Amino acid sequence: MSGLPAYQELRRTHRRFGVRATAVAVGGFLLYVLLSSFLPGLMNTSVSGHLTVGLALGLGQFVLMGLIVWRYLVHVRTDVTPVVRGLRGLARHQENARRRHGALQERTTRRGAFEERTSQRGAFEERTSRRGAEFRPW
Amino acid sequence: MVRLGASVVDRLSLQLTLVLFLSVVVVTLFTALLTAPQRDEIGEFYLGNRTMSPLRNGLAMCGDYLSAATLLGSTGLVALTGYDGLLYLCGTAVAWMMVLLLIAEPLRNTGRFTLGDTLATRLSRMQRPVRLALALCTLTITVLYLVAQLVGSVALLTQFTGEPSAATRALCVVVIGTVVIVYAAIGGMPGATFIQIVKAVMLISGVTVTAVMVLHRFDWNIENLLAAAADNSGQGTRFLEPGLRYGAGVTSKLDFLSLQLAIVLGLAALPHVMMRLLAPKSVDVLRTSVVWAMGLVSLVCLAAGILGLGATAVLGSETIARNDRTGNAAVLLLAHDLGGAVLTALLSCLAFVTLLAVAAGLTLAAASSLAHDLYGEVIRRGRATETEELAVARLAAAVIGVLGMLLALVSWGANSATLAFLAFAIAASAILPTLVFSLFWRRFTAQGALLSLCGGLLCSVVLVVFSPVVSAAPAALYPDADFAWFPLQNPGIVSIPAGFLLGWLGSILSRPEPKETYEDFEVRSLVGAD
Repeated sequence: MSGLPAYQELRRTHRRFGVRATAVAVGGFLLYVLLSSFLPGLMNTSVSGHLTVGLALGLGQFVLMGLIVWRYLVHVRTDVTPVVRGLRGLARHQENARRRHGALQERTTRRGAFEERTSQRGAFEERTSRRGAEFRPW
Repeated sequence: MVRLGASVVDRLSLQLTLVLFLSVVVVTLFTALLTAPQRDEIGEFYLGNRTMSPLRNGLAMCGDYLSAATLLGSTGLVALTGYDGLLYLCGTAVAWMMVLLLIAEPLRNTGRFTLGDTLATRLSRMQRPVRLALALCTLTITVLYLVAQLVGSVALLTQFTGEPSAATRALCVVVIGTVVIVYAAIGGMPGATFIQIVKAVMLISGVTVTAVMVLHRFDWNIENLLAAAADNSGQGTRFLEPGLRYGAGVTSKLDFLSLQLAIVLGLAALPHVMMRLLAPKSVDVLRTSVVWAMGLVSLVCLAAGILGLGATAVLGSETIARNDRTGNAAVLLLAHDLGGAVLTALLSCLAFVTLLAVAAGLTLAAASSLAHDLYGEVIRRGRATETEELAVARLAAAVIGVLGMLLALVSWGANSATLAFLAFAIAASAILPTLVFSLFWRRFTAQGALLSLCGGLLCSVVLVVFSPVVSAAPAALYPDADFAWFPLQNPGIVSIPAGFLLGWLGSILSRPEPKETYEDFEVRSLVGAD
């Protein structure tokens, strides 16, 4: 599977997103800590009343985190889930084909028959569980 | 430090706390017994109910993640040091982003019961030494954090009874420790999950309600709250500016940066948090759970900030510091002022339940690491039956609980927050490099893992031993001796880069892994094994 262009593309985009998002979240926070430590003059400027730039940036961290989480969910929904679903389907298909081929060759041995039975049962369970399990976010 | 004991609360709230705490403990103990794994299945013991809904998983993660240090320690820091205290709370929330963006999904896709299983799929050589080193690191971190929780329970007791006698202290630690052992050894993960969810719901509702009461008192106007906090802090506007705690010079600023690094990178690598990530059955459920936990953790951190500022605004820093030099009493004092005996009792019960739940999660993580990595794979080389491994896990939970109790009784005067921060630093320098390298770096090898695990652990422990935490400072373990040549309280800023560097060095100096090992691993971590 690792040779497929779709997989390579998935790997690249997912890693790029993860690295960037982590850099923004963690780097942004460490930058904030450094600014607070070494540039207190800037951080103590008042925005309104007692609310200083530093305190406002602190609240801004939480807004930034919310934004990143939202972007992450969008990224997963558009760039990751469809590709992963396709790749999983492909892998399942290949696996089934290989099993069927193997079972044909080994039909005479008990082990082959057993494997075929378990694979049939697995496929059955997968079908039934798929129907039953709907995804609830709460 | 446990200090001169002015008791914060009156008799009524003490009795109420006791009744509430006992009822929570009794209910959760019965539930732990009822939901305990019936048959000898290690999967159920390690991971619990794998079909829980995302919200419940998120609550359990939030429960594992937030300890009493956040509820009492961080709010106290905000109350006493204003701005610098608020930075801690911010760091706690940011650390969960690491879990969401980098660690959670690949770890669940490649792992089975412990982090050792992930490493075993990733590294084809020297699996037993790596598992051994990993078990050692896990054990150090969990025992340190467990001792921090038990010491915290003694500090909390001080708020009620004044300076406790040696017998009361021992009784407190032994009772809490025994309940923890029962949760972990008999209840396993299902029992621990139940108490985590109970605790998370109590924590979130308790903290939010109290924060709403604070805001209500200041007419929902943040400006009023900030102004009152600045006026009553005795510091004026300095209270809302950085540097009140860590402004003395470059060393203390570096110390602060070091601590923030340890929090942001270490919280994500705590063993009991990672174990919780392995439980959901599908990756969609895991993702939604982690997002839920992100929201809940942020909510608690914001509310805790309001509580800290409110405590100063309502009571004044002087009153808080008089009761407890580290500020741990701030929330309880505030609750007494806002809601009388009932609210105080609720929040102190909440603090005890929080301690209990985190300690149970830690004991379970340590026990599963010992049973699965050390006994199952290193000693028995994977030939142990499920029944044997389960028996060892239960025994290990009891042994670790007793060890934690003994250490807590010896070091009851230590500062619970300092111990917790050390645990974070060790997690960030020993476990995080191995985790990140094995998930994302093709060239990583077993030698790199060994060097990074052992080196990171050794480096952080040695730096702590020669730091002002152990000697030369008034609050140190040995204030009279002086061998503190390392100036910082927290080793993170040196030991975390050292851990990464050692991992890199060990890997490039050794023979590369076969190409297919990493490719298979990467396919699993991205596409998942279903």
